[in-house]
Amino acid sequence: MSSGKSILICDDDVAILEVTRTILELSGYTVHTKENTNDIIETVVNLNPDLIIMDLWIPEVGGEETTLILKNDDRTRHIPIILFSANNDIERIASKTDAEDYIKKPYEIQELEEKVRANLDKTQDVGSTS
Amino acid sequence: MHHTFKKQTVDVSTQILSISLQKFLELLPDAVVVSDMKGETLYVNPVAEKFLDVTFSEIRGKNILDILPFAPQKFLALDILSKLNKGGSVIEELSFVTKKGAEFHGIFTCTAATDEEGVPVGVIGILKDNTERKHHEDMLYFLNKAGEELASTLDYNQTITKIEELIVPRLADWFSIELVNDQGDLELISIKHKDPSMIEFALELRELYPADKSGNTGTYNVLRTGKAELYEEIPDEIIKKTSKDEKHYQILKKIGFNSVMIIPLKLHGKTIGTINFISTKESGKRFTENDLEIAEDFARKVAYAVLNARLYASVEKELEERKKTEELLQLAQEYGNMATFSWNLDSDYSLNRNISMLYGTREDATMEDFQKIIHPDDIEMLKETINEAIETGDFYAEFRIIPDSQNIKWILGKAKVLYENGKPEKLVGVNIDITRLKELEQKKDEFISIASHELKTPLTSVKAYLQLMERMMVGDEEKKFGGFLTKTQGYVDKLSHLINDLLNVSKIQAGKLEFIMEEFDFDQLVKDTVESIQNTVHHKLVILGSSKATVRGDKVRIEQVFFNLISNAVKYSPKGDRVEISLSSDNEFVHVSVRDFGIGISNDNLVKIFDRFYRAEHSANQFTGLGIGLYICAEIIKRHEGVIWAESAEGGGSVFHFKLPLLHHL
Repeated sequence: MSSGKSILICDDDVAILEVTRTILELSGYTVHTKENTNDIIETVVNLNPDLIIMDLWIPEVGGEETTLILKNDDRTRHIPIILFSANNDIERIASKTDAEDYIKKPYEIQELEEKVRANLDKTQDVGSTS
Repeated sequence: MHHTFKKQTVDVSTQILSISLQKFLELLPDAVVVSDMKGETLYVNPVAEKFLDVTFSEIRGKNILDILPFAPQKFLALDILSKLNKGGSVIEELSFVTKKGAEFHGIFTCTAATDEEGVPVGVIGILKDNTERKHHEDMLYFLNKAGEELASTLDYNQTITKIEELIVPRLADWFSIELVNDQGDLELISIKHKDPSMIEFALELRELYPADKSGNTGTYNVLRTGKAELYEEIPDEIIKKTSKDEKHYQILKKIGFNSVMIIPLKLHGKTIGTINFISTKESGKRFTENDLEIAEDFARKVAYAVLNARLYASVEKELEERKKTEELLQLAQEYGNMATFSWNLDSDYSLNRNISMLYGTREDATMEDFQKIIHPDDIEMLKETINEAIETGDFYAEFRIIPDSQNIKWILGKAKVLYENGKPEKLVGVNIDITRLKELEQKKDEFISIASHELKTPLTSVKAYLQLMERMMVGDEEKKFGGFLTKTQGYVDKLSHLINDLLNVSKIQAGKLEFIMEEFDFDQLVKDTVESIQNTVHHKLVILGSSKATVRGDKVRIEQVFFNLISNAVKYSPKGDRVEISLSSDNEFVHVSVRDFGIGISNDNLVKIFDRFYRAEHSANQFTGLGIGLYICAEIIKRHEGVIWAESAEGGGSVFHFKLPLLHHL
């Protein structure tokens, strides 16, 4: 199911980045990974991903704050963000931010795939109507 | 002794009369002196001889004025003589100290004897000795006064000093009070003599020659018999008998005992001591039966004063001790950052200790005062907790206060409601500053939070890889390893649940456990959850019945309740092979019970199993686990406004029940 869509995953844990990248690549996505949130706007603008998966607990600037930054920039605002966390309260945190969705760690592959697809479809819809 | 009048007439009848009169005068107990108008002595009777310490032959023809020892007496005699020059009588009350030093009180009646023309030719003086009567009157008056003194004050020492001053030397030369101590010995409470050096001497003597405890006279005898002893006179034999050796005898003799009264102090029929009056030759006072009567009356007053003084002293001692305890308690509380309070529920009156230190308020702060410093976010919770306490009798709350703008303190309040006639009257308990504890707890919560996150991170990769493997297996591989992978995933889930439990406990403690409420089909949730758990256990999990209802709640957390209850059921029935999950509903609630056929729980443990970190004591070594599962279950059910409880018989398996409010039936 190759869609040619690209996804950026931000997570400070290399193992998680690796396995999640593998899973998503198997689904046919182009996957970029980033272990921190430094120069996030520049990175996102350069890579121009269709979706961002954002870990919550990242040293220095965390996922919650980074989401806020991305959603406050005209160049990146349109990109859907899925928060990604082992935090039990991820749902509540996600509802407080402008993130589109959330995935709780440890995750079911199926859930990951469904949420990624659903959020990419949404941008498709937005893209097609605009 | 032979005395005769100076003859003036020689007629026989006069002679007979004269002799009779002379006899009469000799027998008279009063002193009689006859003189001419100049004072030349014509006659003294034997009493007067003794009194003046002269014989008639020595004094005859001499002027009476020369014999009187002291100037005032001479002056008085002169005055009387001059007054009687005109005839008539003079009556004088006399008080003086005799040559031997004894007190003397008397009435001196002088009458002029006149010739036929009525011209005074001589004086007849009769001195009536009133010393004893005067002494008796003094006794009555001053002991009464002393008695009043006793009744008027509670200051023991001051009272005794006053009494001593009233008694010595006026009524006795020595006065002492002795009381029985716990060992049954007489202890000298007070001793008085006008000369302080004599008191020293008496104390030394007492030390050297202690009173004979078994003697049939003296203070110990009075103590035994409860009967007063009166020695109007002390003849030498008594001193000899009382003395212990020659030296003692000489000393006692030198003291010169004259008269002694030993009077028991009685309280409710029991003799508690003696009061002792001693007169010496010094004053020459003699105690009589009449004196004894007065002294006994006084002794009763002394006994009651002793009783009062003892009561007072014991009250004072108790007060002193209470004050000391109070101070220690105050210190202990200060060191422990603890305050105590007693709050009247209806009047808002409170009796506190150390509240000011903890809260920075007045010590008798009212609820209103407290409301001003209690953290606004905690006021409602506190009010509710107090209302609940009035219902249940127990108060327990942790809350924050803001005693000043810079600080927030955490306070633990623990109290009981005291009831009077079934009505809640007071809330009595303690407040403890637990700020430091809370800070540590917060650090611990942070640690647990980080630890569980760190644990979950590798778990996330493990779980994802397992799923990837499961997916990528083909043909034989799936047959061979499929089952293993499913089980491994189940254990990963279990690990994940355990980590969540750990995290949840710290969140419950911090009051930060969040719930995401949604409406869901209860039976479906139970079915899914039980299926997932079944993957990891050998026991057969059986669902009996159904609720046919929707519930509004946090799915993940309720799933966790099932996970914990079923895990426990499996864990504590190692020999069982089956766990039953029964579902039902009524109009308001869905009911769930999880039954195992295991070791059961004793009654003692049954009430505590929902406490944090509680693990049945004997099970600690036998079964693994954190002891937090049921605590979390209870918290989750409580937050859903449900109820959880357990029933069990040791060895007979356990049933855990809970009910949750239902939304509607399907």
